[in-house]
Parts: sequence; C-alpha cells; structure tokens
Amino acid sequence: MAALGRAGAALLLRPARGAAGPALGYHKKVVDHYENPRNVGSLDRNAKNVGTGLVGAPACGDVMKLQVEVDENGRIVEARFKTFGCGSAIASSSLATEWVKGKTVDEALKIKNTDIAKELCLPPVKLHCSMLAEDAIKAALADYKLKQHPKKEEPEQKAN
Amino acid sequence: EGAAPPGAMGAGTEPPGPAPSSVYLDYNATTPLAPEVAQALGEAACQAWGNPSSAHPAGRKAKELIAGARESLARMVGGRPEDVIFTSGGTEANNMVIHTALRHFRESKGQDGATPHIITSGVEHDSIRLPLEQLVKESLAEATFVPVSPRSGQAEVDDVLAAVRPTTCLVSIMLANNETGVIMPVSKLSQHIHVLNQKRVAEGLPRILVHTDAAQMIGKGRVDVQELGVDYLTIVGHKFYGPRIGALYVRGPGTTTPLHPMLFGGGQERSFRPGTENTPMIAGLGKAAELVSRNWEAYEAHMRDVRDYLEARLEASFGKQRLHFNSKFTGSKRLCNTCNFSILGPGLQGRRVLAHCKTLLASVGAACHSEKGDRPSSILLSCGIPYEVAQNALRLSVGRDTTRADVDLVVQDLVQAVAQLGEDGAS
Repeated sequence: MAALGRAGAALLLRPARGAAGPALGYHKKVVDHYENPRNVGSLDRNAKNVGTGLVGAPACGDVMKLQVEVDENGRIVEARFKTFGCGSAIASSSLATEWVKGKTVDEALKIKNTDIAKELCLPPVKLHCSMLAEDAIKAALADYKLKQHPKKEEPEQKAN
Repeated sequence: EGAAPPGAMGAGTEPPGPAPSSVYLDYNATTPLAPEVAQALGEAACQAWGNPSSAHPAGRKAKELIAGARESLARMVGGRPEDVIFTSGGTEANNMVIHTALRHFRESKGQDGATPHIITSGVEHDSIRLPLEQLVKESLAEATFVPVSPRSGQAEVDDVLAAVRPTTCLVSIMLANNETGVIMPVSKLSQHIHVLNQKRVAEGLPRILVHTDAAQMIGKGRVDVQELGVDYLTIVGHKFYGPRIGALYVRGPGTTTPLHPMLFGGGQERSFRPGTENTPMIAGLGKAAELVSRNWEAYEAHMRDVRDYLEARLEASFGKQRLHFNSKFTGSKRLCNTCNFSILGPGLQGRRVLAHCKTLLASVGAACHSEKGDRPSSILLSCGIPYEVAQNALRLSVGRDTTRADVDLVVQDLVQAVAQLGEDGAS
C-alpha cells in the first residue's frame, strides 16, 4: 500500500454524518492509526518472556506479526506489531498493541474482535481485519505460554 | 508520493464504478480447474494426442501420462494403481457398482430366482438413488433407503445393519452429504459388514459388497480406502479442482472384488471400461489428485477456518433467534467447507434471498435439483428439518481460495438482501 501524504488522507476524510449514515472513506480513527501508528517494530523473539504471533497469509492479503513482552508478574509491559495489509488491518493491530499493554495474559486473552471493530467503527466488509488482530493476540500469548512450559503439548500455531 | 485517487483505497468505500465482483460460494456444486490442472490438461491435449494403445512413440507418450495419473489417483486414496478405473465421472462409476453387484449376485451359486437386495441411505446423490429406483420399478432388485437419524443427520450403522437380508448384495453409503455436509460412519459400517460377511459365507449367503461415493470428501478431509475398508469408492474430478471425469477405486478388480463392465469394446482399462482414453482429462485428473495428496490437510484447515468465520459472522449479523444451521448435528462430523443455514421468517425462501443477492453466488441445495421451484430439499426434510425452515435453506460451500474478506462481503450482501425483502413485504 503506497504511503499516503496528509493531503491524500484529507481527500478521503468526509465530515462525520452521524452513526447512521454510510461514511465514504476511512473513519478518522483508522486514519489516525495509519498515520500515527503505535508500537510499530519488533521485540527479541528469542527472549523467554517475549511471545510472538504471526497470523494470516500473503495470498489472503493480510499478515500480522504481534509481539508481547511479559514481566515476572504475568503482566504485558511492552508490545510491538508489524502488519502487511489494508488500513483497517494496520489500525486493528496497532490498537491491539495499545490494548494489551498493562493487561495480564489472561485479561488480554479476553479482547474480542468485536471490541476492536466497534472502537475503530470498521465497516462490515472490514470485520475480518479485527478478527485477524484477535487471532494475533491469541497467537502471541500462546507462544509466550509455550515458552514458559516447553514440555506441555500445545497445538501448533499456524499462519493460515 | 501524492494523494491517491479516492477509488483506489477501497476499504469501506462503494466505488462509483461496477459493483464488487461476485463471490462464488458454491464449491460443492463444482470447482474451477486448479491452474496446475489446466496446464497439465492443455499440455496433454497438445503434446500427447496419440492413441495410448498404439505401439509408436506418439501413443506411448499418452500411455505414460495415463499410467502416471493412475498412480497419482491410487496414492490419493491409499490404494494401488491396478485398483483405479477411469470413468466419465461419478455417475458412471456409481452405476458400474450397482450393475456389478447385481451381476455378481446372479452369478453366485444358490441364488436362482432370488431378487437381489441393495441397501443405501435416504440422502444419496441421484446417481445412486435413481438407478436403484429404476431397478425396483423393473422388479430387477429390491432396495432399502435407510433414513438418516434426525438427531445425527447420519445413516446410523445399526439402522443399516438392521436392514440386511439374506439376499442383500450391496451396501452403498455416501462418505459426505453434499447438502448438509454430514460425514457418514463408513469405516465403522465396513468393519461390521466384514464381520457379517464371514458369517454369511459360512452359511452360504452372498457376500455384501460395500461402496462409498466419496465425491464431496476428496480434498476436504482424509480419504483412505484401507481406513474406510470399502470395496468400491467413487472419485469425482470436478469436486476437487479437477476436470469433468472421474474414477472408480476397486479393491482388486476382477480378483478380490468383482467388477462387471457396462460397456464392451476395445479393451482399454483392462476391458473394465473400454473406450479410447481421454488423455487430457486423465492427465488433469492425475494432477488434481497430486495436489490433494500434497495439500489436503492445509486445504481442510483453511476451509474450516473460513467456514467457521462465516458461521460466526452470520450469527452475529442475524442473531441466534433468526438463524437455523441445518448442517450442525450433535455427534456428527461434517465437511470442513459446507454451511447450510436458513434465515427464519416469511418471504425468505432460499431462492428468493439468493435472487436478491448482488455478490453471493450459492445454491439452496444440490445443483442438479435446481429446477424444483420453491419446494424444499427432500434431504433436509428427511434430516428432520421443519418444512418452513427447509424452504429458507441456503447452502454455502467455501473453497480453497475463499478468504475471510470474501465472507465479510457475502454477509453484508445477505444482510442487504434480507433487508430489501423485508421492505418489499412478505410474498
């Protein structure tokens, strides 16, 4: 997806017409995450307290990598993401990293795609992006758990 | 870089141009050729056109391709190359099995004058049901169509065994139903029939042959003839991204298991199914089988993921009260890609809803029954689904390339179709 200058974003932004009317263009929250993404980057995937989730497939047009760093108390202190996909996918994963920070592993597992979609006002055709972000959170936390208990038989995380 | 034109962004926008391209969700009806299959088919058509029975190089090349395809098919189902007979499709393969069972019964000693009996399920494809109905009409055979259990959607093993008579010569139960997606307990059934056969042979009764039509299962789940324990298995190319021919697996045709030809001619397929071979189609079928052998687990996982996402989105959009899933039965496994559901309410017959969809391409049941008007599927009715619910049934079947993004488009399309039908008032 080509980098978008301020002018381009402004072209797409329409004045809000209230919740009922169909808005043409991205919602301003999505544009905000696209232009000012939070927590882009990587953590050391070999560190024992870092969980890495890689979900999606290039063929489907959506790939998300989400990483979490968990402290001794089981609380997520750092999160990073990298996403290949549309604006809604980027915004969903960016929001996901914001939301997991400060939560315990179990609390973060409760984050639902519907919450992400609602927060970003995603249109129906983009709900799958929020679903992928939920998958990414779960994959990262599953990877973290597996690293704490390597002998346990965990189902393999697959990028589908 | 400068500003991108508004249409290029796409997300959430309705571009002023043509409507979003359609989303095909009718893969149980048929599948397109996989690119590799089309290539193999095309190459064979151009380069291996010789008669495979000819001794010269042009013929030999075709013969090699066919041998390779045969091995590929055998590998796919866990059998041996000599167990694979190429046919024009599933219909021919199914007819061959029934024809063979009857001939075998007549030629078995001690059956003079007796009428052979065949057991099948009440939800089979027409290419099993109609030949049997025809035979019954002509008093050439008796048939029992074992109804499926409304609880499990399956033809229960006990019910099939209860229907066995001394004159039973064949049991044919499909591996997975094309409309509901329910997977039948074929392995378990074969095991029981095998035990029963040992007793029957000792008592001088005819052996019961076991057949399964695996048309819908190949490429969507494990299909292994050793595991299934069947004598015959029908393979249908155009359900697994292959061309419009098929094959019949027979466990040791002519030796271990009888196989009687319906056609007589030039000796091809060891005289089991003569006719100069359709080399390009066979080459394509072989390639499609190769793809399945290599990737079926990945295909299954992907389709299951997308289908489950579809069901979650449908439930979220219409609500549990308004939706009835016709393919979910307790205790039954089902195909990874099939979602048969009804949106409850007056005026929402499946065909009407589909007619108002702008993106979704799907069906209300088996494609070969599409001229039936508004009458609901007899298969759903026989699974115990109420009439008004069955009338509203929609069958969506996802494919290897269906994405979650496609699902979002389809669900939105269904929502608008139903909303529109609501505005137009009940029919």
